[in-house]
Amino acid sequence: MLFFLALFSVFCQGQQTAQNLFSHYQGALYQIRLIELGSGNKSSIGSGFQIDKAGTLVTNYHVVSDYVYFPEKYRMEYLGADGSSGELQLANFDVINDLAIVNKVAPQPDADFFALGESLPEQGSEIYSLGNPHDLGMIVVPGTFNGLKKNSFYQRIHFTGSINPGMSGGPVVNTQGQVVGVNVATAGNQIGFLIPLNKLQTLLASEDKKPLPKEEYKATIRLQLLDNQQKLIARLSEDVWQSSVLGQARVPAGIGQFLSCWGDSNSANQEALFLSVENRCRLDEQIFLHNGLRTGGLEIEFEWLSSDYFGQHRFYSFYGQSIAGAGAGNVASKTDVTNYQCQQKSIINQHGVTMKTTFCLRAYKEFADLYDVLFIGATLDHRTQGLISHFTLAGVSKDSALKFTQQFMGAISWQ
Amino acid sequence: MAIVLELLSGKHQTIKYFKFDKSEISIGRDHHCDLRLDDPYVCSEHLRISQEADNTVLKFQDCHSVNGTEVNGQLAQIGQLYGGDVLKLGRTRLRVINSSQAVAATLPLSRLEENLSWLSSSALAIGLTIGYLVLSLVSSFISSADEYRLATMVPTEMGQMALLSAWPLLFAVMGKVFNKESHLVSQFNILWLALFFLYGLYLLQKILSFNLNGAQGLMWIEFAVFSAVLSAFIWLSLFIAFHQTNKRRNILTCSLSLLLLLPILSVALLDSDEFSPRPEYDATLLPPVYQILPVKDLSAMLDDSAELFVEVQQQLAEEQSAHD
Repeated sequence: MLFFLALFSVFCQGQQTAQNLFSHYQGALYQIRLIELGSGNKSSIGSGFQIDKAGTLVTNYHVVSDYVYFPEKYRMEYLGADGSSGELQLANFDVINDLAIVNKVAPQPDADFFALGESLPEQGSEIYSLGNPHDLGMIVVPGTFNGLKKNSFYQRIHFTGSINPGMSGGPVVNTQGQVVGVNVATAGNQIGFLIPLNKLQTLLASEDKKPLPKEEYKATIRLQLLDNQQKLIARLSEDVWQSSVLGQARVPAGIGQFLSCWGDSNSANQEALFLSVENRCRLDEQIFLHNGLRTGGLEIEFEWLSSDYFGQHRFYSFYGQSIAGAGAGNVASKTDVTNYQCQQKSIINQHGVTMKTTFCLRAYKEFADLYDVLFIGATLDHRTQGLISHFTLAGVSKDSALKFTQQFMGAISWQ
Repeated sequence: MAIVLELLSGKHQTIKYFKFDKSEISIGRDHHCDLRLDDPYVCSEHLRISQEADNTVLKFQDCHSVNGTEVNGQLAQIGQLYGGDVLKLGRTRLRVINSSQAVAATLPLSRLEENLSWLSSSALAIGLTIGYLVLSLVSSFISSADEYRLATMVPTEMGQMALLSAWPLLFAVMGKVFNKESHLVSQFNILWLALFFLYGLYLLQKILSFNLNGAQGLMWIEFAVFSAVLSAFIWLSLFIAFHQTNKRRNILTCSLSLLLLLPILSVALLDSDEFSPRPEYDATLLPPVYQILPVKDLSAMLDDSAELFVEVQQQLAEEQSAHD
């Protein structure tokens, strides 16, 4: 009985906290709107929250990405719970962690604001996601802090609770009402991802209070991307690449703890005349730059093909069909990247593996020295067996691409 | 001088040829007429044609016939006739020939025609037809990754061969109409031979492209060779079907080849500028025995890849400067 009472009181307390939080902090929560100058209509909305007296607001980069790309076409506005509104100015952003800092052009001195937390809460604690889903008004979603997402290069808090699209950019607070993260994405039923506090702290610390000039937006994105890809490739190549067996080949496995991998094979298919065993890994997150452009991704695929039924000519014809039609791993449009150009070679690596390699590149039109890379290798050492190795890298420099390619190709050997 | 007339078919093809060594002739259904026409719409004595002794002008006079006489489509009672005029009596058409005009130059008998006589062998045609069927079955077998069912593939391949047969059949029909000889067997033989030749070229191209890694120039060489084979095939089809001068045959070959090749060429040239999220590369893989050129080591490949970065950057710079 006592136990139930205790449980009930905890439940009530939870309810009260949510209500308290909402009434106490709703003045510091805002809807962020992008107004298209030509039509005067809002083109996108998200959430944002104030973090100091001076009128500094935090939101997601993707909420204001249209403005960053086309500052002359859009204007940013906030809309408070009390109906107050005003213009915003972009101060700084972090495309890698999907954060943006905006300032009120005319700050109200008595506006509420959220305090930033000192550290992340303990695993299992109650946290509250605040935001403005579907343009319906501000809401509070209670949930659980489940620690940092495992195996991720782009660090995220794992949150159990539903984050809806319009809540992007809203704060996540602990029971004391201190900010511990920023809403960013939902992975379906009751699983949400948040930007952890430390990323926000880093961005705030790097800001020298002067807003970024409009002409430097693209250059800033470029520098952030260059820095990020360099870290990513460095972490990958520092790792000891273990190898696992795939057919008769040994292929790299467990590269970087942050790739998520899965396997597949057609061995259950009785009618198949060949055996196909696949091994795929990729980075779960990509960097959002604007609606038609994602970058920062990495995919690695190996497929072992072998057949007891095919003669060598029939096998190689099938093998060739299997390497045809590969495409980019990230979304990009004509205005963002060039067409791919490829180079094909038959090579032999240091372990005596002969393969036909296809190495394709496309350059980013607005970010010099960044490329998307696509690689396909097909071994040529057996009559009716072959290993296809494939990777795509999005938004990497020449040095990173070559370094990774060398390491990748050197990691393939026969058993 | 003589009066020369041609009896024409409905399509103005010559059926019969008449020559009269007289200065005046009568035409009609009567048995006494110089030119007797078995046409119920022609009168017993329908028309008289006369020739003056000193000139080549012919005169005609309609003998009050029931249905009249048309000269080049115009009803006339009396008048003059010149070489090439077409007379219509009842349902019969006659063409007037100017007998003093020179005939077209003699076509030289072609050695090639004699040398190609082996093409008309029916045994060869049967052999080639079966051979081509076997070749297409083997080719479809090699390119299939699923279970291969001969019973379904034979009708499919035969259907495709039936479609291909439209070409020799067309030329055979035209040959029959214009030259009274179809040469159907020869037409079929050159079709299968051309296809065999093209298949050989396709295999050669695969081996080359596998070894040369889809080099840029290769596509144009391929296209040039294909064009040459196609033109030669069209030229031979025309040669077998029709008796015509070389000049006329060459012009026809060029225009037909262009008609068939231009769409291929325009497709190749047009889509090169389109944006695509998929790279274009050569996915041909052949068994290790076809790797004729030596393979390179990893560092050579990386050096070439480094060069590709420079190329891509150069192309981007060109694009951007063209844009500004």
